[in-house]
Amino acid sequence: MTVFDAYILKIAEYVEDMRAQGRRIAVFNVPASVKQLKEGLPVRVGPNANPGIILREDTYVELGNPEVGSCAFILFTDKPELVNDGRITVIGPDIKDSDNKSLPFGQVLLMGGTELGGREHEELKYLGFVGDQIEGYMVRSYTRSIWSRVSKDAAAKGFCLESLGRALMSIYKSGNTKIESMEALFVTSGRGDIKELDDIATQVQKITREIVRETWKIRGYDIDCANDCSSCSDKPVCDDIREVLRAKEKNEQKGEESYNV
Amino acid sequence: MQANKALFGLTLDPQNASPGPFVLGNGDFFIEIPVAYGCSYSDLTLTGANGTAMPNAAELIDKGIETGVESRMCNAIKVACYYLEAGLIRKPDLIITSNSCCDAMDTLGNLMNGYKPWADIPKFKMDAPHSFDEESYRYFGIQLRQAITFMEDVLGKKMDWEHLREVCLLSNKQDQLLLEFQELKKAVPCAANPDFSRLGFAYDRWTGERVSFEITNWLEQLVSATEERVKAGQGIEGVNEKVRFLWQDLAGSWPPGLLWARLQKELGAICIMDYMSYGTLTPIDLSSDEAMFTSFGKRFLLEDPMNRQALHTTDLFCSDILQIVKDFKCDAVIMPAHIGHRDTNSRLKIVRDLCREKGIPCLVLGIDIWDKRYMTPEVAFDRIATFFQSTGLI
Repeated sequence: MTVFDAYILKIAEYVEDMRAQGRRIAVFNVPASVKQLKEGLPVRVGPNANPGIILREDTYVELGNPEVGSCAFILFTDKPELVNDGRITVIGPDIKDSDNKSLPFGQVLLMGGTELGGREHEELKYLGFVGDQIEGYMVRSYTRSIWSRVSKDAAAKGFCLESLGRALMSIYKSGNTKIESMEALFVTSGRGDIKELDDIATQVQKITREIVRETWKIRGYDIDCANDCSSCSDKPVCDDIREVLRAKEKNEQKGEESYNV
Repeated sequence: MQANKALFGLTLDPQNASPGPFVLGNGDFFIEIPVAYGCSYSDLTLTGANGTAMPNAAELIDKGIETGVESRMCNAIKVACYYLEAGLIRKPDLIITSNSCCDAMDTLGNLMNGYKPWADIPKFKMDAPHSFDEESYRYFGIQLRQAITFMEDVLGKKMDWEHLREVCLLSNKQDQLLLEFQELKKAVPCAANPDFSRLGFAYDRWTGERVSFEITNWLEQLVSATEERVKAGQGIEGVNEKVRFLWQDLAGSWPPGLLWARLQKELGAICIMDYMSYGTLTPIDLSSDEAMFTSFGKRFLLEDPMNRQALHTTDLFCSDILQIVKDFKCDAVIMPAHIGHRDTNSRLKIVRDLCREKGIPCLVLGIDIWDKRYMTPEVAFDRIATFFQSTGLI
């Protein structure tokens, strides 16, 4: 999967551009393994880690309210070396510097793995539905944006964007063992900077649409086909192809399971 | 009670008695515009849908069938067609239609535009693209801007742009409150009847009090009261919550009162979300006029229920299901498979396969959300109860 490689490089250029413009940039290098990522985190990470709702009165800071700007997307590649494993880059103020305000929020997650391909796209997207997996962090996310809250308790425990990066890395790496390297970028510096990131997201989305198209084809749905299947003379051929593709995918999955055993 | 009372204002007679210049549409319109302009706006589809909640609903639906529209058409639209053809709708001052969000509403719009007694009424037709990118949002936003010019030309009164900004600010505030309540529904047990989301949306957008301070007060009270219940760990009064389910379609006129209420009371099964309740509303961007209309366009094409579900891709439809199930801790998905929603029904197998893949129990019902004669509430309840039992949820 090389279609996102150019955009991984664009993200690196974006960071350098922000640096050149004098933005405050902090870089953290965190461990690679899931176990080490979780160690030393001030909050719990995992299913039901955040069982409650973070109410308005319990909110320390809100990130990515659309009124101030929000952008989120993922990029992945089959060249793990393109991604700086364990690097978390923060452009702009961190949570403790937020002064209880609402911060604009951009989040880009980059993943590398030799076996990461188009078929992993859907799973990687759904791993991003963090739900209740990070204590003190409640997410409301939609297409290309993330709107979240950090609780006062979590902030008091020292939860910061580095913590968020580590938590997300542990969630993704636990959720998909094909991820060999992972990097996170968080942007809180301003609406204009988020807009620049959003311009990259717009280009990325064109590619993800093609991936989605292919994913549905493998499932047996040709979303480009405008004909009604029941009246199409090619239906038997399509049905055969679908069966072959399904069998192939099943075999591949079986092969992976026996490899893992 | 306040919201329910206001919703009765959406039925035929109160609509016909609306004050001021009367604008009629076939579907949703940016309600901020008529509110700021000072005219009434009525959505004929909604009026028809509300007709199916009246005591004489069966008679109205049957009269709708007699108008000769296609037999499988949504019954809300059939009632609207009957109202139109029978001359029961007050003659509007102008008509604004669009081709969204479904073919049936588009057909209703065509009927309105071709209705001979109204041949002299100025008409404005908007074209909603079936795409969701910046260009599409701008394209539709431009048409909304042109709709204002059209209204000004026909009604002879200029829009007060400052007042429109104020209305948009109020609307944004109300949307934030709706979204806040939505977040509170994530609490287990659910602290308030989730149907308040749907009622709140309808109250906010469609009633005579639309985008008013009364709505803001109501929503503030709803959110504050629910927050207190969340803090106390309380569930819905009198309900022992056992199952949370997603109803992936419109609620309809009879299911909330005759089905969901019974499921809640007798089985502890809570309907966490339906089309109307699922808010993905980004605020109206007031940084410039162009930004405002583009964000109107985005709201209309990507976020407004049921434009989001009907106009968009199956991938987005499925993605929403999975996100709602995860975020709101749903135990099951119920596809009502309303007979009038052929767009949704073309996706039933896909949704079922996806749910099976993800281990989410999924039931396809096959009801008519506007006509309870098609599948009675008792039969629907039994089917859902059996589904919950056979999947081990109760």
